[in-house]
Amino acid sequence: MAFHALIVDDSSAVRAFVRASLEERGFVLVEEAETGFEALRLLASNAFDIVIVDVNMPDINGLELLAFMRKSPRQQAARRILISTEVGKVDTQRGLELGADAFLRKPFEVEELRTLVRDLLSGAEEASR
Amino acid sequence: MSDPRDNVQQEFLAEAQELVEALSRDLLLLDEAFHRGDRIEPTLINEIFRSVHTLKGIAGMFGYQHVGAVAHALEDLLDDLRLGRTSVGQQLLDVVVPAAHVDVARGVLRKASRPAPGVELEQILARIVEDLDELGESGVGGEHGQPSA
Repeated sequence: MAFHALIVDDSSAVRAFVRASLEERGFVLVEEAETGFEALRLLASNAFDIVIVDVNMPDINGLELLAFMRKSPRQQAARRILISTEVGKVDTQRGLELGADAFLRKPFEVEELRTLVRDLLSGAEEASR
Repeated sequence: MSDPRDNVQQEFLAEAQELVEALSRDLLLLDEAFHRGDRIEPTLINEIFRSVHTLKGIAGMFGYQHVGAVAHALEDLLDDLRLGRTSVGQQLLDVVVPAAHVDVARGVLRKASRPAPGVELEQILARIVEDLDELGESGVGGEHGQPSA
């Protein structure tokens, strides 16, 4: 069974990059959200295995989405990756406090993303056994 | 094994074109405001910065390193503007605004089949990066500069 992922980024190119990188081998199915509001709607009605979210978005930012996920019963098992062009100390600290499992700095490579997602998902599987 | 980015090049090219168009429009507004002697709105500088910042990120991810290098050099300069470390001036506008730069960007992006721009474009891009870096190092926007905030 494929894992269920959500990518939240206002850049359609980044969303397409993540989808293409993760879906190619068929072990992850990726849903996309262009805005924080769209992500909230999806997070409220789906349980994701992994959520990849950009810090800088125009309406609801990535840190605010992590805060929502922390309180959402549906997303307790979800692994969280925070992406940004610069992962500054403040965002990193705040991200960790809000439950981020890992950080990705743009621009990132296909294999870097795949390895990180694979590691987080295998860790999640082991924890659930 | 195939590169998964090959299947989504169009997504990158469409977004990059939009960003270049927005950048071109905003740089002309900046040029006009400067020559009218108007106050440069921080929101305009921020919009320009945001376009360049996004372009830098996606260009790197899709293997367009030469576009990313120009965006990076421009971003450094715009960051200095945003933080008041330099000001908008003729010298800065002469380097940043020329429509030729936008045409170069369009030319690079049109080469959708492969990210390498070819020798001629590569030289032009390297020259733009050099000009931007020199300007950044000089720390001035040029004669009659005015603060952006």
